[in-house]
Formats: sequence, structure tokens, C-alpha cells
Amino acid sequence: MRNAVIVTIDGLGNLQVDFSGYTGNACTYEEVELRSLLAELGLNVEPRNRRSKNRSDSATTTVRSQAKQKVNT
Amino acid sequence: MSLEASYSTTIVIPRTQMVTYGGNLRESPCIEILTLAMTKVVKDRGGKLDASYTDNEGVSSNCILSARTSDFPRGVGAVVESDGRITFRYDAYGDNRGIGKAICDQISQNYNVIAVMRAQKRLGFNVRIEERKLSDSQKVVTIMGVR
Repeated sequence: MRNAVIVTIDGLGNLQVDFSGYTGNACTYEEVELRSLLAELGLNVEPRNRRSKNRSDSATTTVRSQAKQKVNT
Repeated sequence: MSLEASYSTTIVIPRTQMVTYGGNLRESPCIEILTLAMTKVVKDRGGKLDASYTDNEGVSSNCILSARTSDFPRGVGAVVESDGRITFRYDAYGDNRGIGKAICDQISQNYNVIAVMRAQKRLGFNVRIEERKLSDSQKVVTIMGVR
């Protein structure tokens, strides 16, 4: 699976970063590496929110949305 | 496992660059990125780069780099603080439309875009950029790195 890092930068310069396609803790290492490179380039980033996404998260979301759909119908 | 995170940002010249380029910070990589970020702002708004900004009484202050735009000719100056932080200064007196603040935000956003693209390229990603305009002066930029 391919690794993807999608960074969204709003009008105030805040970053929203989505790391996907990683196995195990690889995305955490990638995050550390990215932050270190950004600091070298003069951009210090301070986490405001941080959330791990794993398969059970997706499964929970799916179950919830299915349950919601049933209630709606 | 994947990860979602949001961050606030500040522009800070690393201590190593402060030492290496001490007497000539304009040659440092961070000021090079800042110059690109501010060049884009003066290109978008019309205006020029300078090394000073002016207050409402016409008093000029020197800085490492400034953007004097056609809609804010007094200019916004970038100043390197002793700890390496880059701050933006301008005289907000009479700036009822908040143009000075908007210029600061645009410079920060441009800086962040350039830094993120360079970092992702160094990490070996193929990088693609998309811009979505929210208004004449505001946009959201998405940088997609795939490897």
C-alpha cells in the first residue's frame, strides 16, 4: 500500500495533516521526521490535536453509520 | 495505523542558521523561503519588496524584509527576533479593512506551503498541490505527498 501525507493549510497558516497507508508505528516515525525537517526549514509546528486512525476506528465508524441509516429508514 | 493531526505554526530560524549566517541572515535558507513567500504576496496584490516599513506619521523602520503593496503602501515588515522567531510588524492605525493582518496571514500561509512541499520532497514523496479560493484574499491549500 502507498504512503500518503496530505497537508491542508488554512488562511491562518494552521496545518491539518493526514498520514495514511502506514503499518504499525511507521506513521509516528514519519511525523517526527516531517516535523524535524520543517523545523530545519524554519517552521515550528505545535500539535493541537492528534488522533490515531486504525482499522477498528473505521469499523466502528461504519457500524455507527449503518446503525444511523437503519434509524433513519 | 494512520494518523490525523493538526498543528499551529511559527516561523523560527534554527539556532544553527542564526550562528552560521549571523552577520548575513539574508543568505539563510529561511530568509530565502520568506523572500519567496513575500514575493508571491506583492505579485498577487501589486507592490514591491523592501527592507523597511512606515508608520502613519511617515516614520520608517528597518527590517530584514518588507512587503509594500498597492493596497497597503506603508508595508508589513518581517523582523528577526533575538531567539530566531520571525515576527511581522506594521502600523494598524487607520487600517479599518484589516489589510495589514491579511498580508501577514498570506505571508505565513505561503511560507508554510513552501516549507511543507520542500520537506515532503526531501522525504521522497511525489508532491501535488491544490488551491481552493474562499474569497479574493483567502484560500485553503492542500499538498498531497504520495510515495
